[in-house]
Amino acid sequence: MWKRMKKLSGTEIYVLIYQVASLLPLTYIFTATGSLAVFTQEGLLSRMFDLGVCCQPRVLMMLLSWVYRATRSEMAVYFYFPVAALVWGLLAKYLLYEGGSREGRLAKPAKTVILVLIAADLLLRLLPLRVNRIYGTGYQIAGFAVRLLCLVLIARDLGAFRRKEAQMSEK
Amino acid sequence: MMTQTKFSMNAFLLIVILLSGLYLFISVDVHDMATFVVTNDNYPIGETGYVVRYQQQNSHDASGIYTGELSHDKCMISGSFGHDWGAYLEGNTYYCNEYKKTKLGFMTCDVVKIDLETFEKELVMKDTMLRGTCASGEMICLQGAVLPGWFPKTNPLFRMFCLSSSRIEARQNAAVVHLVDPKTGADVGSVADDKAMTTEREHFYQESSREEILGKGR
Repeated sequence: MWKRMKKLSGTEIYVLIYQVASLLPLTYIFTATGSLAVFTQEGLLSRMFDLGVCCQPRVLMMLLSWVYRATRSEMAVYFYFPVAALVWGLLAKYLLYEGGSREGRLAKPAKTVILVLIAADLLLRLLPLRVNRIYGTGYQIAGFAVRLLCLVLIARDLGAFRRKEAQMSEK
Repeated sequence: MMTQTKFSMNAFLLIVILLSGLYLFISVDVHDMATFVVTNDNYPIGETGYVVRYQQQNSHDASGIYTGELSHDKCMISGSFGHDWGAYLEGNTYYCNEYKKTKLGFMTCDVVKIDLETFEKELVMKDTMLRGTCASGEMICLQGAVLPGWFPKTNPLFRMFCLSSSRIEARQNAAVVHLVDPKTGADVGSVADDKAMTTEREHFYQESSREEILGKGR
């Protein structure tokens, strides 16, 4: 079975990491709708929530926070995560995967854009901004490490793609 | 013969969205399981004859300012207005806190002023709590302060809420203390305080004059 499992590319692992990180905050809100006492204790669920938020792009989380403040609805926060993960998962098949649309012609420019955005996100996390002080150091480090891993995965994929292109042009 | 199905994360996410959407619609919207009621009471506003009425549990009455305490009295303006956490009546102008609830019941607080003749409401300061007056008569407004019911230390939704706010303090007792002239509604000065929400500092602000709070020369 393991031999038959398709080897995942760096991009596919990146999308999977994003989708798993999007699932982390859901259990907290889901539990809170049934038992508000969960707000009074710091436990596994609240830690998962904070970790999930720190692993997401910082600018998107600030936008989500703005939507939360404007709508005053925890449901908007809840549904953002799985919907965004689903949309990104479906878009990735079309844009990022080399077997996708237009014989993968969109894959290279799309991956380059993603690379630049992740690098900008990492730089933003290093700045001494108020938004970076809200979460504890542990979460900041974990979030930075996950995003750095995503950067490395995309960069390796892009490098491999360019090498393949160079080999094909030599032939 | 068993057929192998490939696990699809996208399909899993779609199932999560549909099933949780159904559950949350039933629990939060239909049955209102997360209702958070502050209190049930009427508070008279000075000698004006009007009362501030809080949301009544198991009642069809809305919170707001009413013409009296009885069920047949008229609602002049609806909204969750505060009285016990610091309200101030200056002539026909009533300064108070207005509480706004999120879906799961967290309360945020703005300072508003209501004209008791026209019942028009005007925002004085957003994300701020009115906590009485100081010795020289200015109103004490704690900007960025959060109600304890937010459980700021243990609640990750509160941290998410703060992420895009330039005012709300993620640290539990911190606030920027503004002094507001009740006659004009003007902000006459402010000072940042990491322990503004503690009992000791609240007593200090209520017992001190403007010069003592803001420092000499202000």
